[in-house]
Order: sequence, then C-alpha cells, then structure tokens
Amino acid sequence: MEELDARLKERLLALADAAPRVPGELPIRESTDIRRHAPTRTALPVGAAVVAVVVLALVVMQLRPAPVPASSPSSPASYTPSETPSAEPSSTIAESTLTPHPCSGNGRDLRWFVGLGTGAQPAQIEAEKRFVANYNAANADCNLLMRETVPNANAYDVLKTEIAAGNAPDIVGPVGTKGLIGFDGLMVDMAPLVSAHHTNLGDFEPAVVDYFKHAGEGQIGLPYDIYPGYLFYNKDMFAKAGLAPLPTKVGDQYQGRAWTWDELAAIAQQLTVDSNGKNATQPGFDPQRIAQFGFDNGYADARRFASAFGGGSLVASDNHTAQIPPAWDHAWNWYYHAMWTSHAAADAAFTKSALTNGGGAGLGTYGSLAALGEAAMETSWAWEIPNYGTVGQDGTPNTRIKNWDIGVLPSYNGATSSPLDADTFVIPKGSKVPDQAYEAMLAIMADPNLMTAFGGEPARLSDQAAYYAGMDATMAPIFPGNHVTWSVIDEMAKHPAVPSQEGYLPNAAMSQSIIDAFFTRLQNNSGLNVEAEIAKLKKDLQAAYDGTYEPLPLTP
Amino acid sequence: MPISREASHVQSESLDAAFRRHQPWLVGRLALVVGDHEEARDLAQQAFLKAAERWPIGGPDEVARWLAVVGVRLAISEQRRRRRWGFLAVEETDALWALETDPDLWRALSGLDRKTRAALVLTVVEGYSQDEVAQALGVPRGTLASWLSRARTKLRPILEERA
Repeated sequence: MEELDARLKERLLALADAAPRVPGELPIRESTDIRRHAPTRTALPVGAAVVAVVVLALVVMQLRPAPVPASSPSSPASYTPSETPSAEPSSTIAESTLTPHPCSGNGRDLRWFVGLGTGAQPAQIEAEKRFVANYNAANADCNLLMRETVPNANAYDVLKTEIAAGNAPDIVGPVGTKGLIGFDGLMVDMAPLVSAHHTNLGDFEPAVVDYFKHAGEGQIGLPYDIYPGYLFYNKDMFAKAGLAPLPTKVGDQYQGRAWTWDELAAIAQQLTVDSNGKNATQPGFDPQRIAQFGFDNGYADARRFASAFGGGSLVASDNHTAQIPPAWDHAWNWYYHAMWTSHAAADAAFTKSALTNGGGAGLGTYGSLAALGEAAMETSWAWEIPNYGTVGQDGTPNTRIKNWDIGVLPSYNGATSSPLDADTFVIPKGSKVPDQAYEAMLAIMADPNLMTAFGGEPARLSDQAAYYAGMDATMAPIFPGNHVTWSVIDEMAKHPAVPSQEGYLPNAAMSQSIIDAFFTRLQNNSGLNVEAEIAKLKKDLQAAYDGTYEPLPLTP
Repeated sequence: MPISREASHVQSESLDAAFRRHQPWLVGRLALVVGDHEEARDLAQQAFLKAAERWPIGGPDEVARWLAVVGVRLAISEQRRRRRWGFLAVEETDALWALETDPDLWRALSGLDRKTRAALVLTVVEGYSQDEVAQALGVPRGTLASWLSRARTKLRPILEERA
C-alpha cells in the first residue's frame, strides 16, 4: 500500500501544481458601510490588506463607530424598495403586510449581520449593498444601516464572539434553524415588537409563525422564506402503472383509502419495475435487475426522513439524554423494509450505480433519482424544485422526465408531518436599538429584490402566487403542458415537523457522524436487525453526548 | 503532532509573509478537493481570513498544518451549504487544467465525494495519520478508514496501469 500511496502522492502533487495560479490577495471582511460617506473599498496590496484586516478586526470586535449625524433629508421619508433588481427576478412580489412604518431614528447605527445562513454570494452582496444604500437614503433622519457580511464558514464564531464581547449586531439573517444552534436565549422575543408596531401576521401561515416560537424564548423571528417537504412524483410512471395522481390536500384519500405511509409503500411496490417490465408485486419480478424504483428518500438524512413520520429529537429536553422518538423508530423500520424486503425503495447500491450511468452524466449531474427518471416518487423540498428543470450548472434542460407533479406527504398515526426548512431574521438581545432594528428588519423582509437574490420561496401568503407564476414561467419551456400543483407546498407548510430535523445535538459533529453511519448501514446492508441497530444508535449517541464515544478500531 | 494541538507562537512570521509562502500550495491542494481552482482560491482566502483573526499561529509548519485542515473543513462546509441552498456544483469534472494534466486520475477522483478527496489530500499528500485526520474532520477513525479504503480500491487500477 505504501508504494501505491507514493505513486498517488506523486500524481496528486502534479495535479495540484497544475491548478492555475491566480495571484491572491488577503481577504478583507465585508464591512464597507462603517461611515456613510466612506469611499468604496477596493482591492489593496497585500501588505496594506494585512493592516486593513487587523484594523477592521479591531473595529468590529471592540469599537463601535460614533453616531453619524443625519444628512439632509432630500429623499422620501419612508423606505422605498430599490427599483433596480439585483438579479433576474423570477416573479414580481407585491409589497404587503410587512411594509415598515416611518423609522423612529435616534442617531444610533444599526448593524445587519449577514452570513449565518445565505447572503454571502457575490450577487446577494450586491443586492444587500443596494438595499442598504436605498434604505439609508430614504431614511436620512433615522438610523444608519450597515451591512456586515461574513463568510458562512466563519459566521458562527464571529457572531458568537461579538455577542460575548458586548458588541452584538442589531439584525442577523437570513438564518435557519441550524444556523441558530448555539444562540439559545440570546435573541429578542419579538412578540412585544409585533404588538407595538401593529405588524399584521395574518399574511403568514400560523403554523410557520409558531415554528419560530421557541419554548422559553418566545417569538425569536418572523417567517421569511420557507421550504416545506412534499412528494415529487413522475406522472408518466403513475399513468403507466394505472395509478391515480397523489393527493394534494392533507386528509384527502388516495384511491379510496387513507393516504398513509403504508399506502405509499404499496403503490411504490407497483412502481418498482425490473428490466423485464415486471413490477415488484408480480411473480417473476427480478430484484437483481431493477430498472426503476417506486420511491427514493431524495436528499433526506436519517433525521430529515424520520421527521416526515413526526417531529422529534434524538436528545431529550434535558439536552443530554439520548432518545429515539417512536415515530422515528417506525420510520427507519419502514424504510428498511421498503429497501430490502418489498423493494419499494432504492437502496445504496442502486443509487451508486445511478451515479455513473449515462456515461457519467447520472445522479451526480441530475441531483436525484427522480430527476434522473429512475424513481417514481421521492421526498423533496422546495429548494430542490429548480433542479428538476435543469441539469448541472449551465442550465441545460432536463429531458429525462416529462410530466411530473407534487403531492402531500402521507400520514403516520393519523398525523401529517412535513420536515420544514425556513429562514428568519433575529435581533440579538445585546442590540441597543431593538425597536429600530425591528423597523429595519421589516424593510429588509419586504424588499422584493433581496428576496429574489436570496432565492427563497416567500413565507408571505400574498407573495406566493407571484412566486409560483415565476416558477411556472421557468418550467413551461422545459416541460411543455405540464401543470404543477404548487398549492401542495402551502398545504405542507401548515404541518411542519416540530421540533426541526436540524435541531440541537450535543457534540454535534460526532453525533451527526454516528447518525450518518447508522443510516448508511441501513441503506447498504440487507439482513440487519433494525431494532438492534437503533438500540446501538441510541447507545452510541449517549456515549457521544457523554464525551466517551470511542470510534471503531481502524479496519486493516 | 496532533493537527489540533495549539501551535507555538515562537518564530512566527508576518501574516503577509505567510500568505506569500502558503497561498499557492494551499490553492492547489484545495483544488484537488473541490475540483475548481476559483472556488479553491476563495476557500484559501477564507482560511487566511480565519488565520488573520487568530494570528500568530506559529512557525511555518504549524501554519501549513493549520491552513490545510481549516481549508479542507471549509471545502466540506461549503459543499454542505451549497447543497442546502440547491446550487451545489454537482458536476465537478470540468477542470481543464486537471484533465490536461492527468485525465485518468482526475476522472477517478471525480467519482469520489468531496470528503473522501479531502481525506486523501490530508493523509496521502500531507502525511497526517488517520487518527489526526479523523479528529480534524470530526469523524470516527473507522469511517475515515472506510473512505480511504474505497478510494484506494477505486484508484488502484489507474495507479497500477501506469506503473
């Protein structure tokens, strides 16, 4: 093996040396709005950049810029969204519920921290800059809004440090559940602000508003964008199998029966077809030559998939004791049976083979088995939708599927649960101007150009029709004549899995690794005792929570 | 020495000098992991930004170790984030510089996921032990070993072919 590694090292080094050498510059953290009239910062020579990094670090970590006197109010008194779109808009989103009140400035500056979630891409930064410039121009007698963009990989450490140092920003976001882990108890309860500012929450799905209501912390944010889970399905495969379209409303029956996960398994078996055209319910079906699976779990990891059976957590409310929610135990057993007994669901071997089929343009390019036309159904999320239409990064239309739609997730034990990804904005308790921060936050949330730049599906109900019209316009040339029932996404948003599938885990990296290993083992191995595997998962997680987990010895 | 060990501050050089010394090779290593030299350059810059916040880190060896580990961690985090936001660069095999240099090896590497390529770079190229890399990447050693084992199985025919 040493000889092999030596050869590999030699060739890897040759490859690394061949990577184009573009002269680099030390990076400067985006914090360009420290002074209203500061010149635009451009690239500096390396030496100067080093000094700039140190100075900026000091400024951000310790010093707060002095209040900037209001300039003459030559612009409108209330905020007006930018008229120049930051990116090609897919839809027109109307101003509505969150239109801010005229600001009540007191001369303090407002700092908007971007990077904990999305927001640090170049096009997004441009949109943020334009918004800030317009906001400050339109509110010249109010608080100066400053944008502070930190690369996502650094954002947690930087924000944590700023809060600990008493230098908290005033607005943080967009940020999702995962990004907020570690900031428990540090964010303002917005309920009093909602009330004081008469913010109309009627334009949101109540369940999504409640999604950001955390026990012991209150309403830590308002919904900004949402990505509920649902079922993608291939209508052509359903028609060929003689199956009806999937239900589009929670509570509707499917072909005269309750729409449950067991029902899904039954039709998935009919949709799993071997290379001879026999489905998995027919005599002579060859499980070694499956050409199309009835179901795939898409991108879902163990927690995300199980949350479609019911919200839960692998750690108890004491934040230390490992637990397995009963619905998750059932979900993993269901999935294992579907993979290895009924052949209703794709296993890892099939997924791996799909990675390389089509001359390398397989799963790796199409993103999912359903997009590749090799699975009839898959669990999916709203952020996945654009990927069904195009292939790779160059926007090549997907020709592997033609007619498709989305349906609601089935129920388990009479309840429907949609693992939800959603983003919000939060106001740290350390903000010295929470009222003004709230006003500016409403303006940020109401800006259509920012929403377009962030690429999210708007949480505001009144904006969704326009958003879906934009999606239809994008999809129509690729899938002519195909109609997508977008209302399914709204329907799913009414049933979010709570707690979130991305919730807190002690010793998070190690715990997640244990969970991934567990799920990978299920996907790769037939003949397992699933209950024993789940018991081992719980035991290993407890050890990880306790800090005593010993990884397996190195395999020779 | 464990990768995560706090480095000595003795004999540290300026950030400017460290940047000039380490940036070129770091971009090359990260390009192996991410398959795109522009992204590799961005990741290297992020790594230096983190370094600037902690400077001084130590002597050149400590700085190199620190940058390599932080760089590949950033590369893996970036992929997770891109997937989360639906714009993951799923086709990572269009790096002309790599295809022109060693097409067989590059195509084989492209069939490995980013974490496995990161593990290969840290162990085979940088020479860290599996224990060190497992600790640095936050995975059990057995998991890391299985990644490397699969990678070697996949790469072996290409390496033996030219031997």
